Amino acid sequence: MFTVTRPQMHGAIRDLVDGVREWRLWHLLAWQEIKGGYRRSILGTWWLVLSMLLQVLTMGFVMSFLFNLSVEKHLPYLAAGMIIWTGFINGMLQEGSSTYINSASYILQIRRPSSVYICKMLWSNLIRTAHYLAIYILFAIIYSVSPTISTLWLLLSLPLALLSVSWLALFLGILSARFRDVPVMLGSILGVLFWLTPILYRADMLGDKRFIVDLNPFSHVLEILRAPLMGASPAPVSWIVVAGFATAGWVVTLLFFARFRARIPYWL
Amino acid sequence: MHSIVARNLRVEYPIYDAGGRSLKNALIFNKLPLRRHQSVGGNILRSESGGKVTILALEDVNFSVSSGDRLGLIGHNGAGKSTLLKVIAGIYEPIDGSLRTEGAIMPMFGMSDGMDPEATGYENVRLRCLVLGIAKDQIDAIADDVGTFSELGEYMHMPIKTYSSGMMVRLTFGIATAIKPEILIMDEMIGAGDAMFIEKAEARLRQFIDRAGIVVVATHNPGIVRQWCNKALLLHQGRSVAFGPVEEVIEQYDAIVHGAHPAAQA
Repeated sequence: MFTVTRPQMHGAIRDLVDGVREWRLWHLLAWQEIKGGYRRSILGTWWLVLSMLLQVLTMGFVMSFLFNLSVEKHLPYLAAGMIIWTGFINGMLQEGSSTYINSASYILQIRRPSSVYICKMLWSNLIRTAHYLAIYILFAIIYSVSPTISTLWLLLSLPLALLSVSWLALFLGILSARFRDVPVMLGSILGVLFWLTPILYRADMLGDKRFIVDLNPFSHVLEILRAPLMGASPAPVSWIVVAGFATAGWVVTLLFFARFRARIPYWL
Repeated sequence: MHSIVARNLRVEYPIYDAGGRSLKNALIFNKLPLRRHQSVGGNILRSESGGKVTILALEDVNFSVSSGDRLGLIGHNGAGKSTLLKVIAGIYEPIDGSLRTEGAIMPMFGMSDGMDPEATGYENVRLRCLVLGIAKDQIDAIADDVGTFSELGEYMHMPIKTYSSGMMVRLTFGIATAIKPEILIMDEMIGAGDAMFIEKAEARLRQFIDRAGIVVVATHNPGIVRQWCNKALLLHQGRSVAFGPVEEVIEQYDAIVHGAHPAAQA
């Protein structure tokens, strides 16, 4: 398909290492973006939180009535799922695909490790996700979902989930710089994936058709993040799938990044 | 010791957008010859298969400068000056040939693009410093220096979208000249705006340029090259046509402008 030379690979690895090290820069850029949302707006990012809260409440009650679920069990579950999907998976992939396009003014102005812009995007989405977490905390308090020792799994699952989403964000970012249809196409793919991920429902409600969600790697990314929030241990199979997804993804992305990194400014 | 050494640089831009597609059609139907020389811009190429359209922006560019040199790049519009600056700045990696630079590179183009209109003057100074990779302990000193020099006073704490264009120039000029660059790269000489301010700005600019290890400035104004540079590089259709002492190169530039140069007749 394409060949990667040793200097290209070195360049790619150096770019990633240097990019992560430039935390002051990506932190400031992300912070600037979040702060931008608050300018002349009292609620700022909390508007997004409020709109998700209303969405979760509506969905939660309707679903509970439709499928005879207990509201106190379903609402915290739904809230956790929606936060992870919106803030983590959907947000990072959607923004990841337009990261390089949106950072063109910086990229064409000064040479910096290009992974800085990916780090900035991941960081601003993590900050936004932290805002969303307030919804989960609210429901957890109301319906007394208390943290257990299993909640500590988050210390492992959060970095692993981040690894499994970040490679795809980087990959899509490069691809979108060259093919401008990708961000639009991704929007429809994510719309489909939303229904193939057990966010609004539980996987076991699908009975013998549950393979349709099990085949979706994002179901497992969701599982390792949501189970600890619900005070349970994630299923072992999910750990394996996510670890495999992250490893295989990074191998491919590293090769891809090494080959095309220098071409990105030409495509912008 | 700072240096820039360029050997046989070659840069091609791929063309993908709508204009490129219609251009591609034109090339497929052979309305344009395989290679066409025109007075402005790089040569437009098409691949052997006829599918891919690229612009040959730089070809066989050679020069070398070292500490203390002030290099002026001159040439027509589209001669490849800005592209060469971006290659020197490490933004575009050349397709062929080699470029070796020693020293930290400070590019001074597109500065206003990197500014956040909603952020204050001070915030933009900090942002700019971080983008340029300036050490944290120097940033506060630079911000104070810019504030004092620009005489913006309380406006440094206001969003820059409230600035008049003159105030904007003071701010960007202040930021641009606040640092001690090793290799300074400029697309056209940075300007200082209003008359009241111009003397102060020129003194600061002179100081700034004197502090730099190497300066590379692209311009189509031979006066700028005469005033600031000790070496010049003449680009024509993406090739380095002449490199050396300022007057010799400007003579060849004038010849090209008047159509008398052999390179212009090729």
